[in-house]
Amino acid sequence: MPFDRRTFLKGTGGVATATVLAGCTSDGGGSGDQTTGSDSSDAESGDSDASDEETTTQSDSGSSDAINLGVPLPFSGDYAWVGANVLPVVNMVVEEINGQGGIGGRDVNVVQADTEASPDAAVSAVNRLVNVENVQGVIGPTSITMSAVVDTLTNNEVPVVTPTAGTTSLDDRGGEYIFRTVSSDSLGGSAIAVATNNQEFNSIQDYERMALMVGNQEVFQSFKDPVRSSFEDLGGTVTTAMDIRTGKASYQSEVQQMMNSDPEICVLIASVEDSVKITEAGYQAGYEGNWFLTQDQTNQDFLSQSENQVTNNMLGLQAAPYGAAEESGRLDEFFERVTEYAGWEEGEKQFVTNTYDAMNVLGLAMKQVAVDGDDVTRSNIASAIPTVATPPEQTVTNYTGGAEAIENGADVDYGGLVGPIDFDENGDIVAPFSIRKVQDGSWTEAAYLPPEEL
Amino acid sequence: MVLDNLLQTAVFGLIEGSVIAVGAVGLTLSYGVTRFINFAYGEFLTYGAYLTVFLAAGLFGLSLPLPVAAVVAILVVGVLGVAVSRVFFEPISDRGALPLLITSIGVSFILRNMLQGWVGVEARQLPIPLMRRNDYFGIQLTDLELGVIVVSVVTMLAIHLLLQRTMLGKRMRATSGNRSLAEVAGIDTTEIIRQTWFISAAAGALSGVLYAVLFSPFRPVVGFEYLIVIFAATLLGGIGRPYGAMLGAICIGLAMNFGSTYLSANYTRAYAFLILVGVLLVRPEGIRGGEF
Repeated sequence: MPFDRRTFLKGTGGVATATVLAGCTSDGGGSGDQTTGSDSSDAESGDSDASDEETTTQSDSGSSDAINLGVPLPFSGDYAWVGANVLPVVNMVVEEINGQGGIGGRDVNVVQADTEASPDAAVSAVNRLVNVENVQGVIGPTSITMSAVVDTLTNNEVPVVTPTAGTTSLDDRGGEYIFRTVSSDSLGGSAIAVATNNQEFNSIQDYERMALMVGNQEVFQSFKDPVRSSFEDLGGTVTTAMDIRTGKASYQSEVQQMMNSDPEICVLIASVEDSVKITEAGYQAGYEGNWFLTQDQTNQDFLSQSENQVTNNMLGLQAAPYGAAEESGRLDEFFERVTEYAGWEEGEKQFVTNTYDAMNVLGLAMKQVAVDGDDVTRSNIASAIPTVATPPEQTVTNYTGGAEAIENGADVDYGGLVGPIDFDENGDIVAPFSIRKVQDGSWTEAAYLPPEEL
Repeated sequence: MVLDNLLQTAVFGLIEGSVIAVGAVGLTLSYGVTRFINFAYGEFLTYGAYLTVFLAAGLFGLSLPLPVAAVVAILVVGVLGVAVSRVFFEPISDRGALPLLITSIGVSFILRNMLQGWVGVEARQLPIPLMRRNDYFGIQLTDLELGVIVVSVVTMLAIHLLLQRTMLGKRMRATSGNRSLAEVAGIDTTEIIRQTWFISAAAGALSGVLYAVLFSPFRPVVGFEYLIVIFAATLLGGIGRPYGAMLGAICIGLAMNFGSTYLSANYTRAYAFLILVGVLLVRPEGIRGGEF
């Protein structure tokens, strides 16, 4: 067989190229997709760096049998702040878990996936987490994308503890695989109705005529019926309940229509950007009633984009700090810890406490499964979630304490930062609300609304 | 009350029509001489609005008064328009309209992503005070809305004078009518096209500034999204015809606002296209026939 110099060079060149490519592929799998160590700064920036669908590994070892946890959240686009708030807290608790020896000696990896706050992107992101990354649990997603992925997650028996999805579509779907550490919008809607109707909870007046302006996306629509029905049950009148298209250039017509119905207060359930336009359009048109906003707008971001003369006396809804966590100093300790860990200027960001509770519950459930000697599988973890969060067993308030108690054979009941975290049969929790009022460009506490009032 | 509402809606329509008109005239001017639809045009709106914000709000270490910032931004975007045309469009200008159109879509992505990479995707707004509306003979208007109408009318007038009374305008019309004939007549059509790009991009930037004055806050996709409305006005007026574009813009502004007020506010842009389709079925050359 003839074997000249040219053929030899071709052959060796091909082998060398294949070897180099194989090396690249191997490296790509190990470091291209996975970054090691603390990635809180990436997440904090919320920019395109954090938006890449990357795998964030919390262990230096990166052992092949590590347990993957998925974080399908928006890391880019208008809702990038959600991912930026949640991810550092997830990483912080995962570091704590790995620092305690992991789960049955296996490290935990965090796999982030960008849902872009879009159902299409969320389906692709969650499919990747479930089928490619083989995640054993999920923290997320948000209300915007939950409906698009909930079937995939439940059909694959993936335990989900979401700190960010208040959507009413989950009200009767959770309890087996889906749990949440954020109040249902049904409860939030009732809170808005009660606070509007009762001066005791808004510090201004008993409002009797309410208009509703609701963005035409699931995340906003989820609030509409609870607010309307609760307010009418309390004897109030809903003068108009308008669906508004999100992302419009101007809302003059909608605001005029709302004003024509002559309300005393308008509950505005929309994005920050649209809310700025709508409330300013109201001011320009001489609207003299008040506004009531939901959690999405009850933040400094909204106020920083609005003029004081527009926002003065506006009311807003927020999750209230859980009394037991506040009094024991746990809340302040957590804020200090996360501020330092993530390099933030302040720790009191939306969803951070919910995320801490969600991660602790998921971590303790995995620990329980491992200590019981069972395989750390999706369904076993899902079954253990209600076990570690239900009274009346030994109350624990963080992963380290809880894991120790579990190892000592105790049945634990996790008590969180947002509430006692006792899941009902639908995987929901109850938590108190805080009614905020804007004064001189800042949100101030107007009233505390305990869950028993709803 | 009914009449007041009707008048008020008409005025809102005119205000929005004013913003669209400036943008539509710029787009149609460039089409007139280049003969392709420039999808990157929306980015001139975006760059105009963003540069104004940054020049007025101190990003470059400058805090210029808003009108000065706007003028500087408009001039810079005009130059950007010329640069974009020289880099991307001139080299392939003899390949026909389709490659140019596809290239313009690519250019729009490049420009938009450059801006996003630079300033992020957060919503921005111009540093202008919020005003309540004043009553002008039963019509409610803020001073800013009045200012937008005035600026738009002055711009239309300036473009009219440019086209009718200046040598540049005559050369632009000649190039638009028949480029080969214009060249035979001694007109440097390449130079005329560059100057038209400057005017077109500057008009786009001005439209972006007017948009930002009325409809803050806005994001880097603002121009690309609003481009669809500008296209509607341009096509309605008969593409390549500046006076038609002005008229088309007013029609689109009125249709959007009347539709939003009296039918449903959720379909604002659909009304624009309903009118467009209706008119084009009857008059395919646009509402204003003729050459220019």
